[in-house]
Amino acid sequence: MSAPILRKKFTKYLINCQYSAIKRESLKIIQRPCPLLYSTTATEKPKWQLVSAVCLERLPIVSAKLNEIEAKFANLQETLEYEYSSLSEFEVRHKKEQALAAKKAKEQEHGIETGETVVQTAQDIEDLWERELKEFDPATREDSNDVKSVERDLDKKLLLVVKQKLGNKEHWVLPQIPWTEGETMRQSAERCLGSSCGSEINARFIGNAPSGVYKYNLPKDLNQDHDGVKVFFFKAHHVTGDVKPGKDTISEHMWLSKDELKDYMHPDYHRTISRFIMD
Amino acid sequence: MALLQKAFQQLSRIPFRGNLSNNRTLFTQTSPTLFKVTDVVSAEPLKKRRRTDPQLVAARDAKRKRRIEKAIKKLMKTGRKLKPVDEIEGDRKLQKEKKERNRELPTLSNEQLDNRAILMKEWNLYKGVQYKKECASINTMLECQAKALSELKLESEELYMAAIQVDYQLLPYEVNGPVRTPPIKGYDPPDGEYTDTTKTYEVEIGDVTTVLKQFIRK
Repeated sequence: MSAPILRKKFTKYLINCQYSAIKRESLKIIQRPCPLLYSTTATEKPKWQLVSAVCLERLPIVSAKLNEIEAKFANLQETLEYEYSSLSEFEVRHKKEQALAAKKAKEQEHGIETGETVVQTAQDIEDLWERELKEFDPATREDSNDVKSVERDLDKKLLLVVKQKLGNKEHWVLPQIPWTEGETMRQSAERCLGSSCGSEINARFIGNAPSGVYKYNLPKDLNQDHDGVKVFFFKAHHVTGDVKPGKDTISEHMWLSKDELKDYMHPDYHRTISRFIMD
Repeated sequence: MALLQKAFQQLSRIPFRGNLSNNRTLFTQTSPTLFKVTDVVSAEPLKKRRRTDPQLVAARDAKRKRRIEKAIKKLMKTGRKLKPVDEIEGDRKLQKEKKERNRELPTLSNEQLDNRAILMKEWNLYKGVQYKKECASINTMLECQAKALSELKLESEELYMAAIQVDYQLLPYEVNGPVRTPPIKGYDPPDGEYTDTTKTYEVEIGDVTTVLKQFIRK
Protein backbone atom coordinates (compact mmCIF):
# COMPACT_ATOMS: atom_id res chain seq x y z
CA MET A 1 0.00 0.00 0.00
CA SER A 2 2.75 2.40 0.88
CA ALA A 3 4.74 1.93 -2.29
CA PRO A 4 2.30 3.62 -4.76
CA ILE A 5 1.76 6.53 -2.40
CA LEU A 6 5.46 7.10 -2.15
CA ARG A 7 5.81 6.95 -5.91
CA LYS A 8 3.02 9.39 -6.28
CA LYS A 9 4.65 11.78 -3.88
CA PHE A 10 7.91 11.37 -5.64
CA THR A 11 6.47 12.24 -9.04
CA LYS A 12 4.74 15.21 -7.49
CA TYR A 13 8.05 16.25 -6.11
CA LEU A 14 9.70 15.90 -9.47
CA ILE A 15 7.11 18.10 -11.07
CA ASN A 16 7.45 20.66 -8.35
CA CYS A 17 11.17 20.94 -8.53
CA GLN A 18 10.86 21.54 -12.19
CA TYR A 19 8.70 24.60 -11.81
CA SER A 20 8.88 25.98 -8.33
CA ALA A 21 11.76 26.44 -6.00
CA ILE A 22 9.59 27.43 -3.05
CA LYS A 23 7.52 24.32 -3.26
CA ARG A 24 10.65 22.23 -3.50
CA GLU A 25 11.74 23.45 -0.10
CA SER A 26 8.40 22.82 1.47
CA LEU A 27 8.46 19.19 0.47
CA LYS A 28 10.78 17.50 2.84
CA ILE A 29 10.70 13.88 1.84
CA ILE A 30 13.87 14.06 -0.15
CA GLN A 31 16.13 16.91 0.71
CA ARG A 32 18.31 16.72 -2.30
CA PRO A 33 17.05 18.13 -5.63
CA CYS A 34 17.14 15.73 -8.51
CA PRO A 35 20.06 16.55 -10.79
CA LEU A 36 18.45 14.83 -13.76
CA LEU A 37 15.53 17.17 -13.87
CA TYR A 38 17.62 20.21 -13.25
CA SER A 39 19.29 19.75 -16.54
CA THR A 40 15.94 19.97 -18.39
CA THR A 41 15.03 23.27 -16.78
CA ALA A 42 17.98 24.75 -18.55
CA THR A 43 16.35 24.25 -21.99
CA GLU A 44 14.39 27.09 -23.45
CA LYS A 45 10.67 27.40 -23.57
CA PRO A 46 9.47 25.37 -26.59
CA LYS A 47 8.71 27.38 -29.69
CA TRP A 48 5.33 26.72 -31.21
CA GLN A 49 4.27 27.35 -34.73
CA LEU A 50 0.73 28.71 -34.87
CA VAL A 51 -1.61 27.16 -37.41
CA SER A 52 -5.26 27.89 -38.13
CA ALA A 53 -7.58 25.17 -39.34
CA VAL A 54 -11.16 25.29 -40.58
CA CYS A 55 -13.68 22.84 -39.28
CA LEU A 56 -16.17 23.26 -42.11
CA GLU A 57 -19.49 21.63 -41.32
CA ARG A 58 -22.33 20.95 -43.67
CA LEU A 59 -25.49 20.82 -41.57
CA PRO A 60 -28.05 18.09 -42.28
CA ILE A 61 -30.45 18.99 -45.07
CA VAL A 62 -32.93 16.19 -44.61
CA SER A 63 -34.44 15.04 -41.34
CA ALA A 64 -32.85 11.93 -39.91
CA LYS A 65 -34.58 8.59 -40.16
CA LEU A 66 -36.40 7.67 -36.97
CA ASN A 67 -35.00 4.79 -35.03
CA GLU A 68 -37.20 2.06 -33.58
CA ILE A 69 -38.29 3.76 -30.39
CA GLU A 70 -38.70 7.12 -32.08
CA ALA A 71 -40.93 5.62 -34.75
CA LYS A 72 -43.00 3.84 -32.11
CA PHE A 73 -43.40 6.98 -30.07
CA ALA A 74 -44.29 9.07 -33.11
CA ASN A 75 -46.97 6.55 -33.95
CA LEU A 76 -48.35 6.70 -30.42
CA GLN A 77 -48.40 10.49 -30.47
CA GLU A 78 -50.33 10.45 -33.69
CA THR A 79 -52.99 8.10 -32.37
CA LEU A 80 -53.28 10.06 -29.13
CA GLU A 81 -53.72 13.25 -31.04
CA TYR A 82 -56.42 11.64 -33.13
CA GLU A 83 -58.20 10.27 -30.08
CA TYR A 84 -58.19 13.55 -28.18
CA SER A 85 -59.28 15.64 -31.13
CA SER A 86 -62.83 16.59 -32.09
CA LEU A 87 -64.25 16.34 -35.56
CA SER A 88 -63.14 19.15 -37.79
CA GLU A 89 -65.40 21.21 -39.99
CA PHE A 90 -64.42 19.13 -42.99
CA GLU A 91 -65.12 15.86 -41.19
CA VAL A 92 -68.51 17.09 -40.00
CA ARG A 93 -69.37 17.98 -43.56
CA HIS A 94 -68.22 14.59 -44.78
CA LYS A 95 -70.32 12.85 -42.16
CA LYS A 96 -73.43 14.85 -43.05
CA GLU A 97 -73.00 14.14 -46.74
CA GLN A 98 -72.61 10.45 -46.09
CA ALA A 99 -75.81 10.42 -44.07
CA LEU A 100 -77.59 12.30 -46.85
CA ALA A 101 -76.34 9.87 -49.49
CA ALA A 102 -77.53 6.90 -47.44
CA LYS A 103 -80.95 8.49 -47.03
CA LYS A 104 -81.20 9.18 -50.72
CA ALA A 105 -80.27 5.64 -51.64
CA LYS A 106 -83.04 4.39 -49.37
CA GLU A 107 -85.55 6.73 -50.92
CA GLN A 108 -84.63 5.68 -54.41
CA GLU A 109 -85.24 2.08 -53.45
CA HIS A 110 -88.81 3.05 -52.67
CA GLY A 111 -89.06 4.99 -55.90
CA ILE A 112 -89.13 8.53 -54.52
CA GLU A 113 -87.20 11.17 -56.40
CA THR A 114 -85.49 13.86 -54.40
CA GLY A 115 -84.25 17.02 -55.96
CA GLU A 116 -81.42 17.77 -53.57
CA THR A 117 -77.96 16.84 -54.82
CA VAL A 118 -74.54 17.97 -53.65
CA VAL A 119 -72.38 19.16 -56.49
CA GLN A 120 -68.98 18.59 -54.93
CA THR A 121 -68.79 16.37 -51.90
CA ALA A 122 -66.05 16.34 -49.31
CA GLN A 123 -64.93 13.00 -50.70
CA ASP A 124 -64.50 14.58 -54.13
CA ILE A 125 -62.37 17.33 -52.68
CA GLU A 126 -60.24 14.83 -50.82
CA ASP A 127 -59.71 12.82 -53.99
CA LEU A 128 -58.74 15.99 -55.80
CA TRP A 129 -56.13 16.78 -53.19
CA GLU A 130 -54.80 13.27 -53.37
CA ARG A 131 -54.42 13.52 -57.12
CA GLU A 132 -52.64 16.85 -56.80
CA LEU A 133 -50.22 15.35 -54.30
CA LYS A 134 -49.52 12.42 -56.59
CA GLU A 135 -48.73 14.76 -59.44
CA PHE A 136 -46.05 16.48 -57.40
CA ASP A 137 -42.75 14.69 -57.54
CA PRO A 138 -40.50 15.53 -54.58
CA ALA A 139 -36.74 15.18 -54.77
CA THR A 140 -35.44 11.87 -53.59
CA ARG A 141 -34.03 11.46 -50.10
CA GLU A 142 -31.53 8.96 -51.41
CA ASP A 143 -28.28 10.39 -52.65
CA SER A 144 -25.22 9.29 -54.51
CA ASN A 145 -22.59 8.07 -52.14
CA ASP A 146 -19.90 10.25 -53.65
CA VAL A 147 -17.58 11.33 -50.85
CA LYS A 148 -16.48 14.36 -52.84
CA SER A 149 -19.98 15.76 -53.16
CA VAL A 150 -21.48 18.12 -50.61
CA GLU A 151 -24.81 16.50 -51.32
CA ARG A 152 -24.09 13.13 -49.83
CA ASP A 153 -25.59 11.73 -46.65
CA LEU A 154 -28.21 14.43 -46.52
CA ASP A 155 -29.44 13.43 -43.08
CA LYS A 156 -26.06 13.74 -41.37
CA LYS A 157 -23.69 16.48 -40.44
CA LEU A 158 -20.65 16.36 -42.72
CA LEU A 159 -17.14 17.68 -42.28
CA LEU A 160 -14.70 18.76 -44.92
CA VAL A 161 -11.53 16.70 -44.71
CA VAL A 162 -8.55 17.19 -47.02
CA LYS A 163 -5.41 15.33 -47.82
CA GLN A 164 -2.75 17.86 -47.00
CA LYS A 165 1.00 17.70 -47.14
CA LEU A 166 2.43 18.26 -43.66
CA GLY A 167 6.18 17.91 -43.44
CA ASN A 168 7.08 15.16 -45.86
CA LYS A 169 3.93 13.14 -45.61
CA GLU A 170 0.34 13.62 -46.67
CA HIS A 171 -2.33 13.34 -44.00
CA TRP A 172 -6.08 13.46 -43.89
CA VAL A 173 -6.76 16.55 -41.79
CA LEU A 174 -9.08 19.51 -41.57
CA PRO A 175 -7.71 22.13 -43.96
CA GLN A 176 -5.07 24.19 -42.20
CA ILE A 177 -2.67 27.02 -42.89
CA PRO A 178 0.19 28.60 -40.90
CA TRP A 179 -0.59 31.89 -39.25
CA THR A 180 1.26 34.89 -40.62
CA GLU A 181 2.19 38.08 -38.82
CA GLY A 182 -0.45 40.78 -38.80
CA GLU A 183 -3.62 38.79 -38.93
CA THR A 184 -5.81 37.21 -36.30
CA MET A 185 -6.21 33.47 -36.08
CA ARG A 186 -9.70 33.69 -37.49
CA GLN A 187 -8.51 35.70 -40.47
CA SER A 188 -5.94 33.07 -41.28
CA ALA A 189 -8.64 30.42 -41.02
CA GLU A 190 -10.73 32.37 -43.50
CA ARG A 191 -7.72 32.69 -45.76
CA CYS A 192 -7.18 28.96 -45.45
CA LEU A 193 -10.68 28.24 -46.71
CA GLY A 194 -10.20 30.54 -49.67
CA SER A 195 -6.82 29.15 -50.66
CA SER A 196 -7.48 25.48 -50.13
CA CYS A 197 -11.07 25.08 -51.26
CA GLY A 198 -11.33 27.63 -54.02
CA SER A 199 -13.34 30.80 -54.24
CA GLU A 200 -16.63 29.08 -55.01
CA ILE A 201 -17.22 27.90 -51.52
CA ASN A 202 -19.27 30.12 -49.27
CA ALA A 203 -19.12 29.55 -45.54
CA ARG A 204 -20.11 31.29 -42.35
CA PHE A 205 -17.65 31.34 -39.48
CA ILE A 206 -19.05 30.81 -36.02
CA GLY A 207 -17.47 33.29 -33.65
CA ASN A 208 -13.98 34.64 -33.22
CA ALA A 209 -12.78 32.08 -30.72
CA PRO A 210 -11.19 28.77 -31.69
CA SER A 211 -13.21 25.74 -30.69
CA GLY A 212 -10.27 23.47 -30.11
CA VAL A 213 -6.53 23.06 -30.21
CA TYR A 214 -4.25 20.24 -31.28
CA LYS A 215 -0.59 20.20 -30.39
CA TYR A 216 2.08 18.02 -31.89
CA ASN A 217 5.85 17.95 -31.81
CA LEU A 218 7.99 18.22 -34.89
CA PRO A 219 10.76 15.67 -35.35
CA LYS A 220 14.07 16.98 -34.04
CA ASP A 221 16.13 16.01 -37.05
CA LEU A 222 14.37 18.44 -39.34
CA ASN A 223 16.23 21.35 -37.80
CA GLN A 224 13.36 23.78 -37.92
CA ASP A 225 12.76 27.05 -36.10
CA HIS A 226 9.86 25.50 -34.19
CA ASP A 227 9.71 22.60 -31.82
CA GLY A 228 6.05 21.90 -32.31
CA VAL A 229 2.82 23.03 -33.88
CA LYS A 230 -0.37 24.31 -32.29
CA VAL A 231 -3.37 23.95 -34.55
CA PHE A 232 -6.37 26.07 -33.66
CA PHE A 233 -9.69 24.97 -35.11
CA PHE A 234 -12.33 27.44 -36.20
CA LYS A 235 -15.83 26.27 -36.89
CA ALA A 236 -17.70 27.33 -39.99
CA HIS A 237 -20.98 26.35 -41.56
CA HIS A 238 -21.13 25.58 -45.23
CA VAL A 239 -23.60 27.81 -47.07
CA THR A 240 -23.19 27.24 -50.80
CA GLY A 241 -20.64 26.10 -53.34
CA ASP A 242 -18.44 23.13 -54.00
CA VAL A 243 -14.84 22.48 -53.09
CA LYS A 244 -12.26 23.06 -55.81
CA PRO A 245 -8.90 22.06 -54.42
CA GLY A 246 -6.43 24.03 -56.46
CA LYS A 247 -3.28 24.33 -54.39
CA ASP A 248 -0.60 21.72 -54.55
CA THR A 249 -0.62 21.32 -50.77
CA ILE A 250 -4.03 19.71 -51.01
CA SER A 251 -4.47 16.77 -53.32
CA GLU A 252 -7.87 15.43 -52.37
CA HIS A 253 -10.92 16.29 -50.36
CA MET A 254 -13.82 14.41 -48.81
CA TRP A 255 -17.04 15.16 -47.00
CA LEU A 256 -17.24 12.77 -44.09
CA SER A 257 -19.62 12.23 -41.24
CA LYS A 258 -18.23 12.12 -37.71
CA ASP A 259 -18.27 8.33 -37.57
CA GLU A 260 -16.24 8.00 -40.75
CA LEU A 261 -13.42 10.26 -39.62
CA LYS A 262 -11.49 7.64 -37.66
CA ASP A 263 -10.89 5.49 -40.74
CA TYR A 264 -8.74 8.18 -42.30
CA MET A 265 -7.21 10.24 -39.55
CA HIS A 266 -4.35 9.77 -37.18
CA PRO A 267 -5.85 8.35 -33.95
CA ASP A 268 -4.48 11.12 -31.77
CA TYR A 269 -5.71 13.83 -34.11
CA HIS A 270 -9.08 12.15 -34.38
CA ARG A 271 -9.45 11.97 -30.60
CA THR A 272 -8.83 15.67 -30.22
CA ILE A 273 -11.13 16.63 -33.03
CA SER A 274 -14.07 14.45 -32.06
CA ARG A 275 -14.23 16.15 -28.68
CA PHE A 276 -15.49 19.43 -30.09
CA ILE A 277 -17.60 18.14 -32.94
CA MET A 278 -21.18 17.35 -32.16
CA ASP A 279 -23.21 14.82 -34.04
CA MET B 1 -109.36 62.37 -44.13
CA ALA B 2 -109.50 63.12 -47.79
CA LEU B 3 -112.28 60.55 -48.22
CA LEU B 4 -114.35 62.15 -45.49
CA GLN B 5 -113.95 65.55 -47.07
CA LYS B 6 -115.13 64.25 -50.40
CA ALA B 7 -118.14 62.65 -48.79
CA PHE B 8 -119.10 65.89 -47.13
CA GLN B 9 -118.82 67.85 -50.33
CA GLN B 10 -120.97 65.35 -52.21
CA LEU B 11 -123.52 65.36 -49.47
CA SER B 12 -123.76 69.12 -49.60
CA ARG B 13 -124.71 68.98 -53.30
CA ILE B 14 -127.87 66.95 -52.71
CA PRO B 15 -130.93 69.19 -52.06
CA PHE B 16 -132.56 68.22 -48.86
CA ARG B 17 -136.29 67.55 -49.23
CA GLY B 18 -137.32 66.67 -45.74
CA ASN B 19 -140.26 64.46 -44.76
CA LEU B 20 -142.93 64.61 -47.48
CA SER B 21 -145.76 63.13 -45.49
CA ASN B 22 -145.59 65.89 -42.89
CA ASN B 23 -145.52 68.49 -45.60
CA ARG B 24 -143.08 70.47 -43.65
CA THR B 25 -139.67 71.43 -44.93
CA LEU B 26 -136.74 72.40 -42.90
CA PHE B 27 -134.99 74.20 -45.69
CA THR B 28 -136.64 76.30 -48.26
CA GLN B 29 -133.59 76.64 -50.41
CA THR B 30 -133.53 74.53 -53.54
CA SER B 31 -129.89 75.07 -54.34
CA PRO B 32 -127.31 72.93 -52.55
CA THR B 33 -125.82 74.29 -49.33
CA LEU B 34 -122.25 73.65 -50.54
CA PHE B 35 -120.55 73.81 -47.19
CA LYS B 36 -116.86 73.48 -47.46
CA VAL B 37 -114.05 71.94 -45.50
CA THR B 38 -110.54 73.36 -45.60
CA ASP B 39 -107.74 71.27 -47.11
CA VAL B 40 -105.88 69.01 -44.80
CA VAL B 41 -102.24 70.02 -44.41
CA SER B 42 -100.16 67.00 -43.57
CA ALA B 43 -97.43 68.76 -41.72
CA GLU B 44 -97.01 70.56 -38.48
CA PRO B 45 -95.93 74.15 -38.27
CA LEU B 46 -92.17 74.69 -38.37
CA LYS B 47 -90.35 74.90 -35.13
CA LYS B 48 -88.75 78.09 -34.19
CA ARG B 49 -84.99 77.97 -34.62
CA ARG B 50 -83.21 78.29 -31.39
CA ARG B 51 -80.42 80.72 -31.43
CA THR B 52 -77.16 79.24 -30.11
CA ASP B 53 -74.31 81.16 -28.72
CA PRO B 54 -71.28 80.70 -31.05
CA GLN B 55 -68.97 80.94 -28.08
CA LEU B 56 -70.79 78.10 -26.39
CA VAL B 57 -70.54 75.95 -29.52
CA ALA B 58 -66.84 76.60 -29.79
CA ALA B 59 -66.38 75.66 -26.15
CA ARG B 60 -68.31 72.42 -26.69
CA ASP B 61 -66.21 71.51 -29.72
CA ALA B 62 -63.02 72.24 -27.86
CA LYS B 63 -64.16 70.01 -25.03
CA ARG B 64 -64.93 67.14 -27.38
CA LYS B 65 -61.60 67.57 -29.11
CA ARG B 66 -59.78 67.55 -25.82
CA ARG B 67 -61.54 64.36 -24.79
CA ILE B 68 -60.54 62.57 -28.01
CA GLU B 69 -56.99 63.79 -27.72
CA LYS B 70 -56.82 62.48 -24.19
CA ALA B 71 -58.10 59.10 -25.30
CA ILE B 72 -55.50 58.97 -28.09
CA LYS B 73 -52.75 59.87 -25.67
CA LYS B 74 -53.86 57.16 -23.29
CA LEU B 75 -53.93 54.62 -26.12
CA MET B 76 -50.46 55.65 -27.24
CA LYS B 77 -49.15 55.21 -23.73
CA THR B 78 -50.67 51.88 -22.78
CA GLY B 79 -51.56 50.39 -26.13
CA ARG B 80 -54.79 48.64 -26.85
CA LYS B 81 -56.30 47.11 -23.80
CA LEU B 82 -56.84 43.44 -24.49
CA LYS B 83 -59.65 41.36 -23.15
CA PRO B 84 -58.54 39.14 -20.26
CA VAL B 85 -58.21 35.49 -21.20
CA ASP B 86 -60.64 34.43 -18.46
CA GLU B 87 -63.38 36.44 -20.05
CA ILE B 88 -62.97 34.93 -23.50
CA GLU B 89 -65.88 32.63 -24.07
CA GLY B 90 -64.84 30.90 -27.24
CA ASP B 91 -66.96 30.07 -30.21
CA ARG B 92 -70.60 29.66 -29.17
CA LYS B 93 -71.35 27.55 -32.21
CA LEU B 94 -68.58 25.08 -31.41
CA GLN B 95 -69.67 24.87 -27.79
CA LYS B 96 -73.14 23.88 -28.93
CA GLU B 97 -71.79 21.28 -31.34
CA LYS B 98 -69.34 19.83 -28.88
CA LYS B 99 -71.22 16.58 -28.44
CA GLU B 100 -71.78 16.14 -32.15
CA ARG B 101 -68.11 16.49 -32.79
CA ASN B 102 -67.02 13.69 -30.51
CA ARG B 103 -65.32 10.77 -32.22
CA GLU B 104 -66.66 7.28 -31.88
CA LEU B 105 -63.65 5.36 -30.70
CA PRO B 106 -63.30 1.74 -29.71
CA THR B 107 -62.53 1.25 -26.01
CA LEU B 108 -58.94 0.29 -25.35
CA SER B 109 -58.10 -2.97 -23.71
CA ASN B 110 -56.00 -3.10 -20.56
CA GLU B 111 -53.15 -4.57 -22.53
CA GLN B 112 -53.13 -1.67 -24.95
CA LEU B 113 -53.16 0.84 -22.11
CA ASP B 114 -50.28 -0.97 -20.44
CA ASN B 115 -48.29 -0.98 -23.65
CA ARG B 116 -48.79 2.72 -23.99
CA ALA B 117 -47.66 3.38 -20.44
CA ILE B 118 -44.58 1.23 -20.96
CA LEU B 119 -43.73 3.02 -24.18
CA MET B 120 -44.06 6.38 -22.42
CA LYS B 121 -41.60 5.26 -19.76
CA GLU B 122 -39.20 3.91 -22.33
CA TRP B 123 -39.39 7.18 -24.15
CA ASN B 124 -38.65 9.14 -21.00
CA LEU B 125 -35.61 7.02 -20.35
CA TYR B 126 -34.44 7.35 -23.93
CA LYS B 127 -34.81 11.12 -23.93
CA GLY B 128 -33.16 11.40 -20.53
CA VAL B 129 -30.10 9.51 -21.68
CA GLN B 130 -29.99 11.53 -24.87
CA TYR B 131 -30.17 14.76 -22.91
CA LYS B 132 -27.37 13.70 -20.59
CA LYS B 133 -25.17 12.77 -23.53
CA GLU B 134 -25.88 16.10 -25.14
CA CYS B 135 -25.01 17.99 -21.96
CA ALA B 136 -21.78 16.02 -21.64
CA SER B 137 -20.76 16.75 -25.23
CA ILE B 138 -21.54 20.44 -24.79
CA ASN B 139 -19.40 20.46 -21.68
CA THR B 140 -16.49 18.84 -23.50
CA MET B 141 -16.88 21.36 -26.30
CA LEU B 142 -16.69 24.20 -23.80
CA GLU B 143 -13.66 22.61 -22.20
CA CYS B 144 -11.98 22.32 -25.58
CA GLN B 145 -12.65 25.95 -26.34
CA ALA B 146 -11.35 27.08 -22.94
CA LYS B 147 -8.23 25.02 -23.46
CA ALA B 148 -7.72 26.42 -26.94
CA LEU B 149 -8.08 29.95 -25.64
CA SER B 150 -5.62 29.40 -22.82
CA GLU B 151 -3.13 27.85 -25.24
CA LEU B 152 -3.53 30.85 -27.49
CA LYS B 153 -3.02 33.19 -24.56
CA LEU B 154 0.29 31.50 -23.79
CA GLU B 155 1.47 32.28 -27.31
CA SER B 156 0.22 35.78 -27.83
CA GLU B 157 -1.87 38.13 -25.74
CA GLU B 158 -2.85 40.04 -28.85
CA LEU B 159 -4.26 37.05 -30.66
CA TYR B 160 -6.06 36.02 -27.53
CA MET B 161 -7.71 39.41 -27.23
CA ALA B 162 -8.79 39.20 -30.87
CA ALA B 163 -10.24 35.77 -30.25
CA ILE B 164 -12.40 36.74 -27.30
CA GLN B 165 -14.06 39.65 -29.08
CA VAL B 166 -17.78 39.39 -29.71
CA ASP B 167 -18.61 38.63 -33.33
CA TYR B 168 -21.34 41.13 -34.12
CA GLN B 169 -21.60 39.88 -37.68
CA LEU B 170 -22.80 36.49 -36.54
CA LEU B 171 -26.21 37.40 -35.18
CA PRO B 172 -28.92 37.14 -36.29
CA TYR B 173 -28.06 33.71 -37.60
CA GLU B 174 -30.60 31.78 -39.61
CA VAL B 175 -30.44 28.16 -40.68
CA ASN B 176 -33.21 26.33 -42.47
CA GLY B 177 -34.05 22.68 -42.15
CA PRO B 178 -33.73 19.82 -41.83
CA VAL B 179 -36.74 19.02 -43.97
CA ARG B 180 -38.50 15.87 -45.12
CA THR B 181 -37.29 15.91 -48.72
CA PRO B 182 -34.40 17.92 -50.12
CA PRO B 183 -35.14 21.01 -52.19
CA ILE B 184 -35.55 20.51 -55.93
CA LYS B 185 -32.91 22.42 -57.85
CA GLY B 186 -34.28 25.15 -60.07
CA TYR B 187 -37.84 24.54 -58.97
CA ASP B 188 -40.27 27.18 -60.10
CA PRO B 189 -43.12 27.22 -57.59
CA PRO B 190 -46.53 27.76 -59.20
CA ASP B 191 -48.43 30.88 -58.22
CA GLY B 192 -51.11 30.37 -55.66
CA GLU B 193 -54.54 31.92 -55.80
CA TYR B 194 -54.59 35.54 -54.86
CA THR B 195 -56.87 38.53 -55.04
CA ASP B 196 -55.48 41.79 -56.24
CA THR B 197 -56.39 44.48 -53.73
CA THR B 198 -54.45 47.27 -55.38
CA LYS B 199 -56.69 50.30 -55.90
CA THR B 200 -56.86 51.68 -59.39
CA TYR B 201 -57.77 55.25 -60.15
CA GLU B 202 -59.00 56.16 -63.59
CA VAL B 203 -58.41 59.77 -64.41
CA GLU B 204 -58.22 61.05 -67.94
CA ILE B 205 -55.19 63.18 -68.59
CA GLY B 206 -57.20 66.04 -70.06
CA ASP B 207 -59.21 66.31 -66.89
CA VAL B 208 -56.28 66.73 -64.53
CA THR B 209 -56.79 70.44 -63.95
CA THR B 210 -60.48 70.08 -63.18
CA VAL B 211 -59.80 67.13 -60.89
CA LEU B 212 -57.17 69.12 -59.07
CA LYS B 213 -59.57 72.04 -58.73
CA GLN B 214 -62.19 69.77 -57.29
CA PHE B 215 -59.64 68.33 -54.95
CA ILE B 216 -58.60 71.76 -53.75
CA ARG B 217 -62.21 72.77 -53.21
CA LYS B 218 -62.66 69.82 -50.93
